[in-house]
Amino acid sequence: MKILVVDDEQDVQILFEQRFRKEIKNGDFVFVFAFSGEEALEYLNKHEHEAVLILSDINMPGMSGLQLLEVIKTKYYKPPPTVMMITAYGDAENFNTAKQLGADDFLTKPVDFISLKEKLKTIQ
Amino acid sequence: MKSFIKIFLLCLLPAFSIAQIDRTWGYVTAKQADSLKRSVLTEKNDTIKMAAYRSLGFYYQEAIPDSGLYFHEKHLALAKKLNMKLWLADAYSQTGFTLTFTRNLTKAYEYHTEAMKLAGDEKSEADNWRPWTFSNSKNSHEARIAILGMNYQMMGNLWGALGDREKQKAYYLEGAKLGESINNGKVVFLSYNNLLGTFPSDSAILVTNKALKFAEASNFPRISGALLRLAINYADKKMWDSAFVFAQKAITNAKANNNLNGLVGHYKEVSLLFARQNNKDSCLYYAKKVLETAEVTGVPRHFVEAYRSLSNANQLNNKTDSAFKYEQLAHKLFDSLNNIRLANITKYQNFAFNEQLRLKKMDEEKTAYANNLKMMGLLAVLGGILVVAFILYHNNRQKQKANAVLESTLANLKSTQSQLVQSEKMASLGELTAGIAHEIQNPLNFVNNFSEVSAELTKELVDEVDKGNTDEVKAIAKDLKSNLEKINHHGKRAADIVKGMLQHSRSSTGQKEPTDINALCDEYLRLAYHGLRAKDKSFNATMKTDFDESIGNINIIPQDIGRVVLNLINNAFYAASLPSKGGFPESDKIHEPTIWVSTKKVGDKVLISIRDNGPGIPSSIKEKIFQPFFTTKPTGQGTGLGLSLSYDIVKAHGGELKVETKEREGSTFIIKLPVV
Repeated sequence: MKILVVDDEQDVQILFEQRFRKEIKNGDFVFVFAFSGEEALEYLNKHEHEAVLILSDINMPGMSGLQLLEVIKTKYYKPPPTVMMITAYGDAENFNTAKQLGADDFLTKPVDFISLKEKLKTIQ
Repeated sequence: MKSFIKIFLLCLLPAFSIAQIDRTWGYVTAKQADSLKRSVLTEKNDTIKMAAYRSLGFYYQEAIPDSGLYFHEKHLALAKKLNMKLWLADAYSQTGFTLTFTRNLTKAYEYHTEAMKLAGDEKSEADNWRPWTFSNSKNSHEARIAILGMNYQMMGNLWGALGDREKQKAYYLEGAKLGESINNGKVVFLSYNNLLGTFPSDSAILVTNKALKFAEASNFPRISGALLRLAINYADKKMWDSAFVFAQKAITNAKANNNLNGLVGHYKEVSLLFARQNNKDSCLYYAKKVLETAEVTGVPRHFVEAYRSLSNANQLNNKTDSAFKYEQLAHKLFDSLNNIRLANITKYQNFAFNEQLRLKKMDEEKTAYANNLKMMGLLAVLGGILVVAFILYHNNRQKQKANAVLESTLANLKSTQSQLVQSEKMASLGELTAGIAHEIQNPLNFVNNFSEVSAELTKELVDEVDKGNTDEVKAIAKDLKSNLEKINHHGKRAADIVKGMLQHSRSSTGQKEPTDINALCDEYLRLAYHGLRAKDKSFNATMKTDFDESIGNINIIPQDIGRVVLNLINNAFYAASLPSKGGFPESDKIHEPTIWVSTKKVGDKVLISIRDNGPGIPSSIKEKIFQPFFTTKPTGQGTGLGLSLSYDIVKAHGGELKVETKEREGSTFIIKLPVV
């Protein structure tokens, strides 16, 4: 399963690679990383339908996670991939907006990787 | 033709000049008087004129006192005008003498007093024009003493007229002494003559002869009084021949000198002499002469003498009716005169008393005035000093009060200002808090995650060691090392954010330090962005940066400039998002809120530009934006101090803060800082 992680923090890549070390090794998951919304869209345009799951941060310079979500869910991809939003602000407003725009799940930072793994396994 | 000859003859008449009366004490004959009266009218020289008036005064003073007074007053006026002290003294003296005749005793006293002052002052001797007029000497000192001596005589006469014989005698004697001191025949003669006239003496003939010798020696013409007294004295001794000879001499002399006053007395005395001899006709004859003379002078006193003489003569001639009639006339006139005299005396006594009082009072007043003046001066100075002192004191107090008020106001202002600055800092810190929390949250997450994952890796590491899978062990160890570095990196990142926050809230230490302006701008841009995102979840804006990497470090107070940058970025975000909220009238226009932060080195300056694509600043308020408390934000959302403080901070760095703006297109704030 190909998972696209979108976050402006580049260290997220290392973190994910280490956290999902075994899974990557076993070939359960394939992670690709984009460091902005724009970069994510670019990837999706090039590799349509490859990414089954998108994990996106909300607060990013430029295109925000929510904007990215809106684009993914409404305009381009059919069937749209599963999109999980991750934010440092676990407030109701962000949560509601994300839900309205069609986010499949909503995670707050710090990310609980154990529960994330569980969720990913169910999707798989 | 006839009149022409007359005029011609008149012109030939030798004009009598004043020089000719030099040796006659100024006394003139009737002819000379006539000539003088004519010449004085055309005389241009005031001095000559004065001397002429003096002689004319002399000529008339004992004949027709009113006329004498007329000339003497002119004489006096000129002496005053010329301010010739001796002549003036003499003029006062002579005019006073004439005033005594006209019975204006008060004024006579004034004039004699004035003459006394002038002639008593040695300084008057500076006037030495024709001093021989007064003393038969070229010496002005002698002239002055002579004038003084004469004035004593006249003062004596005045006191005689007032009935004070004691004073009269004293003045005569004093005058005689003065006359003798300068051997002046006129003064000595007049003194003795006057004395004898008032105070009869057994040795009268001897003294009179002595006096006459003085007169002769000094060429003094008016000696009829002395001559008559000799006549009376001889008559007393029954030496009738001598008596009549001297009586005749006296009459001749009086006539020659136009001494009508003397003549009245002389005729009266001669009439009496004849009465004593029982020579009725001669007695009546001279009595009539008295009346004739009185009719010439018109002096009332002379009429009294005339009536008495006539009464006496008629009595002798057994004409009782006429005698009674004249006696009545004399009595009546005498009474009226006496009343005048009494009135004059009373007036005079009052005057004299008042004069004394006045002089005393004047003296006292002078002293009092001087004292008063001193006192007043002293008081005025004291008052002035007091006023000045009070003003100074008052001013000082006012100043102190004002200073105290100013100082407390200043202290209040300073404390208010520092409070405002602090509250502005805290307000901006508040705006930052959410951003800071987010900024700290991220590195902390990494720290936690990397440490957790490292703990898992350690377990795996042990497993792989047990398996003896050396390659895998190496790979894990490498990851562990990398993780620890990440933990360290993010820990530092969090620490830096906390440090920056503390610096932001701390009061400025005022310490400039080399600062990477690009990093500073970047940091505050992120803080501002996350701060706004934290407050307003729907907020978003595009941020574009363009940093000039060639700038390097510049010397600034980082927290202060950071505050400025933060403030400008916050404003830019606020402005950029305004059009989306109805800031532009065309609500359908697609607007992407964007801000641009750029740095650029231009010469020795660094420019930090913060641009937004907001509505721009209307020109009407462009001038006001740097003023304290000016804000366009809704009440409660802005302090209005941000730009004002920013402006001050940039200025304190020797830089400039400028704004370029275009309505509907946005604004650019440019911080220009010196590199050094």
